[in-house]
Amino acid sequence: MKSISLFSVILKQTKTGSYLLSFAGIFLVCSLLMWWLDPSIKTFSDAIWFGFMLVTTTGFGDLTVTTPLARIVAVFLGLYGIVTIGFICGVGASWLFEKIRAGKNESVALMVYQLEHLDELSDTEISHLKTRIASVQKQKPDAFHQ
Amino acid sequence: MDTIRQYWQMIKKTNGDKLFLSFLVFYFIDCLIIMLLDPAIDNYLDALWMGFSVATTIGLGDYTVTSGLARFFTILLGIYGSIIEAYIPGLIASYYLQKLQARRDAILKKHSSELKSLDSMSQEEKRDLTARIRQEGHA
Repeated sequence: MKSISLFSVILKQTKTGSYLLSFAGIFLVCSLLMWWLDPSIKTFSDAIWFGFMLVTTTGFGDLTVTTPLARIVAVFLGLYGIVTIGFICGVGASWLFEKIRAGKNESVALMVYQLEHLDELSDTEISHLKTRIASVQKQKPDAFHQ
Repeated sequence: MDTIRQYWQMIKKTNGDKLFLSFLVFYFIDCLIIMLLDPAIDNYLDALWMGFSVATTIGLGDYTVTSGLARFFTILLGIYGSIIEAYIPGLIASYYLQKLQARRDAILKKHSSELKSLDSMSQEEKRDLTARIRQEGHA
């Protein structure tokens, strides 16, 4: 098997790439909306700057919006930003958690990845995987009894 | 849609639904109190806007409060807001880890007899099995 890092396995499994891409799209749309809806956001770069300020919860306050509609968009973008920051933190926490498990040869993420790429594994990896499967099934005999 | 339902189940299991709901109630009441207590904020929508800025820790600073009591209630809102924010990464991490474990267990259960003869399989059989496993993951 071509060597693949635990980190990129986790990025793939959590679909971080497509999440961040859709976030970027929504960020752009919301920034443009606020530019259009509010008189105090005058240029495109102001709109991006204000959006950045909301999403990262930096909040310099050099720009602000006053019309109710623009504020609704700002609230939405701010909440979405918090969820996104939370998502990144969550992926990071999962990576650390799995990294510690991988040190004890117990990473669930790597095991699922290997099960999904059986044909790329070497003979040694196959025999490692077999031992892992047996030990997991031993831990929970009820769940795998057939 | 399925993902949202699974998240909601997880939120309920950790009592997050009560946490979010009580936060919303607190937010609306607290903003009202702040509006009544402080002379700088004279309209409820402005109070909600400032409350949002405080609770999310964005802190735009276009509105602020000066009277002691209003500041006290603003501090409460800020603390409550950061607790909610701290809940989110934990929720996402535990969702992913739990889902991963469930996925592994499902694979091991469904293909347990095939996986037993893993080392005697030909390359062709392995490719076929792994393709089926991958397909189940996308379903």
